[in-house]
Amino acid sequence: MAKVFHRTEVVHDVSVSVAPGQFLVLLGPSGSGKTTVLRMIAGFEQPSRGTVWLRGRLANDIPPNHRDVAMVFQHLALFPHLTVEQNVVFGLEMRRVPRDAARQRASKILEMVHLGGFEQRLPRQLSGGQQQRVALARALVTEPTVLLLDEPLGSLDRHLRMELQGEIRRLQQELRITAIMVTHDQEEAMTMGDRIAVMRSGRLQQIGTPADLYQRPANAFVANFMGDANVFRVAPLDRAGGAVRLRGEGGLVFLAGDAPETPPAECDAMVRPESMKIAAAPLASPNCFRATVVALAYAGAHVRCRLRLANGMEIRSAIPQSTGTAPSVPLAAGDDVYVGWEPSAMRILL
Amino acid sequence: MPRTTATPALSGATRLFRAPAARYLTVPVGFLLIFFFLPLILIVLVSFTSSFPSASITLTTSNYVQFFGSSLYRAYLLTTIVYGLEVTVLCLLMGYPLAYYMVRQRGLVYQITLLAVIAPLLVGVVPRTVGWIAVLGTEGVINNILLGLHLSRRPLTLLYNPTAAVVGLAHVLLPFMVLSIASVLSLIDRSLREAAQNLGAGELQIFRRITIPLSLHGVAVGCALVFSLAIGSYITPVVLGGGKMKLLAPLAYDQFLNYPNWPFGSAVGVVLLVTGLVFVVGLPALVVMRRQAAGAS
Repeated sequence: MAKVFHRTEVVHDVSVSVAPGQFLVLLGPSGSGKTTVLRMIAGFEQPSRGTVWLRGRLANDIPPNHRDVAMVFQHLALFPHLTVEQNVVFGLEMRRVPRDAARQRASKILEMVHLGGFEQRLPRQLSGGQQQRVALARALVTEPTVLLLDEPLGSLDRHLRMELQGEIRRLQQELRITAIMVTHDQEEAMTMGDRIAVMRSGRLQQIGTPADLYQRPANAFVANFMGDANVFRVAPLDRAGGAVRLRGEGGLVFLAGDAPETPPAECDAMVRPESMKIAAAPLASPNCFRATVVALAYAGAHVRCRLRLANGMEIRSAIPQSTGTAPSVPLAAGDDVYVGWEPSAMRILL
Repeated sequence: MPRTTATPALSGATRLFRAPAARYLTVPVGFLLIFFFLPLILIVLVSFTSSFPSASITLTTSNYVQFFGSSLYRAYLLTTIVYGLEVTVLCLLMGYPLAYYMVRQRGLVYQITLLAVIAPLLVGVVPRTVGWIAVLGTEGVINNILLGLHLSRRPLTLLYNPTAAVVGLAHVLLPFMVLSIASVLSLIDRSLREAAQNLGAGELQIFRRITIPLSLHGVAVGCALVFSLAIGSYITPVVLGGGKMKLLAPLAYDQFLNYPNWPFGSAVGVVLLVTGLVFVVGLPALVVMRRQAAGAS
């Protein structure tokens, strides 16, 4: 699909598909076009080019109120003048479900989201998390073809978000509903999605499972977006036993195991911080370099360490903390150390 | 005033009085007191006298007895209320669609529509009323068209009857209704509409289930405003109604200027005031109470 908005191409030739029962996450920074794609699926925007297929049927000309997709909006859009129950049965009333049956289904779904007994409350009497659940219940009760979620957890605090992430995922799997969610939070995407589609400036960067995207990002943008990454600009030299030798800035030579047969003349190579080891003496792996510790930051589960290599480049490493009270890293800023990683942990990006 | 050294919670009025800007309020407040509240209180007081101004003042309720005891004067009250309701309903029927349309426009079209709605208020009630004479009169625009197209052999008498008075005043008061409703309509979140659509609602259902309930208190305010203005209206109903309608405002005017019978005139004025208050205060209160009853937890 493509979408032109005010003479700017907001979405360029994006194609995604979701299998029934799958949870797809559209991930990207603001302005990447992900919400536009979602709205095109919902029918609120018409694609300038391309088609939307729902359940094997062409949906372009079907207006939003006939598409059988249910959306949870970013700011919830609960009807303020209706009670929780009235909000939830709204979709059923539009489908002419008899009142008693509708009420029963509403009660059931409210139980599932842990809001049993809240039927007569008004939205303004609920907390943020509770409102969120009502919005979810309202969408789920209609048993839609697809559940669409537009950054639904953005306004909640961290604990509530994590709790609701789990609940949404649980409900989606229990009810076996196909779901598409938009978010800019890569952690949320990885926690919840079966597959993730990373978007940037209206273009699709990569689609894959969370592990695919994290361990085998297609390019530097995806690598950086999915988590911390050290990206080196390199030129390949030759192959050495299944791996490619690369020349980086300042003459450093790397050995990258995760590389295509014929890498381009100039490319990026990345290593994740957690793959790096730091020691006082040279390490056994072929990728081992001298470095100076620039800064350390204690982050609970690991210690983040910034190091400067001989070529002046700063890299980041994350040292996991073993269970114990004191940090197990006897490092201080200014120390000279050796940092290294396995070739298999270094990947060439295009 | 408490005299503690810690920051005491002074009453709101005390705080206001001590605010440095308080002295600038004395002029507007004084103005209001002298030219609004004082005359109002005087009117109420005079309505309880037997003759005013006069050498001796005796308090009596005879004016009200005379008013409510006479079927003629009761008819005045009824006609006034009915007139007010007719004007309000007509304003609502014309005003709601106009407000709905206006709110859905953007940019330049919106500005122009807004201007078109407000502009009549800048013109003044007399020219607008007289303008209706030019439209409805025997030599007016409508009759010219009808005669010119040979749709009628004689000019129609459209003027100087109650219908003309209702239509004319509704036109005059329309901006108040439109603005009241439009301001509330514009506050309705656009995403509510999308949410309703997403759940399967068509245009009509969105209008019935979402738009109308959420715009109801704007409607109530508009109706209250138009009604209270309509029942107190003098020029338009007298001119367009041919002076034949039995309304309270002209009656009070008459009592003050022509007889003069200030006590009775004041009583008429107070009746008018109370009637207006009942609607202005009572109607929104009803909407609020109904909303609370519907949504009570």
